[in-house]
Amino acid sequence: MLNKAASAKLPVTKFFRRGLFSFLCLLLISCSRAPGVYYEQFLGFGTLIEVKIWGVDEKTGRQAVAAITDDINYMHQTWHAWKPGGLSRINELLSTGETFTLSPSILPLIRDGARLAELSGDRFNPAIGQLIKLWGFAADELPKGPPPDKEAIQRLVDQKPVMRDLVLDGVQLKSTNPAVRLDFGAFAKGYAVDLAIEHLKEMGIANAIVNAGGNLRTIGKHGERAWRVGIRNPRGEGVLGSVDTFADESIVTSGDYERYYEYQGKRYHHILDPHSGYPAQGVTSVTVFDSEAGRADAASTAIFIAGVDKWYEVAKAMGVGGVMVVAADGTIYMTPNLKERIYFDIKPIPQVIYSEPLN
Amino acid sequence: MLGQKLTAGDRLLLVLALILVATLYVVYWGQSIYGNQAVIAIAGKHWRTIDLYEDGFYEVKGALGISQLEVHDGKIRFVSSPCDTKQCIHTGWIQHSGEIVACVPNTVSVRILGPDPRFDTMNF
Repeated sequence: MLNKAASAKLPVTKFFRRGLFSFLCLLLISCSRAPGVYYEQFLGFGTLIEVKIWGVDEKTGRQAVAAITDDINYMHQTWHAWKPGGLSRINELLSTGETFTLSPSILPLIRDGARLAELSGDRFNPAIGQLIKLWGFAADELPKGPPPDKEAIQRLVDQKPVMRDLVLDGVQLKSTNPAVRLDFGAFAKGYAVDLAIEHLKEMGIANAIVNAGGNLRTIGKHGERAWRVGIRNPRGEGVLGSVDTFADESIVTSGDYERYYEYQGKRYHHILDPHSGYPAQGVTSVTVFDSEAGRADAASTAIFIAGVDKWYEVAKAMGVGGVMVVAADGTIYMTPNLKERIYFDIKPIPQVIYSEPLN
Repeated sequence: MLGQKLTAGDRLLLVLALILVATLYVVYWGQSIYGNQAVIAIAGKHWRTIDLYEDGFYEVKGALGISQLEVHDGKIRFVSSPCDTKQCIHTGWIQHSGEIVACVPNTVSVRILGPDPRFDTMNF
């Protein structure tokens, strides 16, 4: 009815014409697509890998993601602890105690892994491949229990395999402890994210997220605003909180909910304490903020194992940027630099205990 | 111009402007943190985009078998999946723009779409 009336005696005044013109312009503006986010996901490292790139055309986005997909597939093959490939050959050779030649591509992983293990007081310990295998976590399928035999665990713990047992000379490697088996499960994903981000930067991409199964690093921004990251609630559903990332920042969480099985009502998760041989207790998740995803990955495992009493000490030793520990009782321990950055999304807001600053 | 009577055209313009403002309000401040569509992908490839306000169940054939998804009142979750860990089911409902739930062994993933995502990505 309005239409009919309007079309019948629509007086086209100057005011109306100008108004209509501006209105149509507005509509046009709102319809035009601003350069947005190029998004792609693929499977790699046995997990879902997401890549978001802001402000590039589709062709550039597609090329960039194709390049890092190749990188990640290669790394996964080379660094995998239980599939035939680079690392399983290395593990066989380590058990002999003889000197052998490494493929240069795995060298930085071993070198950086050893350095971080040392700083963590061997809580992050990529040399405990045998222990991880004994527990059944070195497999695609989760173990069903029962947990391994007590004596078998103790035997492996007593052999004390650590990264210091490795003697690296150029590309020559040998182990002075025949118990050393490498497993970079607590490091490789973060490290791969770093390499992927480096590759994106080399391709001239300044604003991106690479997220490998929850381990992520962001560079640049989403247009005018920062990239916004949700942190999953380790217990229950949904989101614990969110954070706007700095221009180049990694966020990595280790949680007891990621890989676990229950046996006779008890939860056995994949974060094994190398000193006891058992899943570390007292913490449900540790989130580490750092410039490097590899260091954040290793540190999140080490801090999880350090527990509520020692977390700060280990965080400081490893030199990470910020830490949030969710204890088994729900209490949150946090470095003060995260105070203004994390917005909690759960009600009631959990009790937070702040530590001294890290530096 | 002031003091002149508003013509029918002026009134129409005012009404349109008000509608525009109201629409912008709803789009940007209303329920914008909740997504209204979800993208289901198999092995990283787009399978279907679904409306989260049409309640129902979806069966998605992944690498291991069928994952069943439930849509209810703007939310979506895994109800069953042929994986070992059942992590996808433990995640529960997701509803906010940008949130993701995936059954990695079965290569099925769900991502919530929305006009102004509350999160660009999820850390877990």
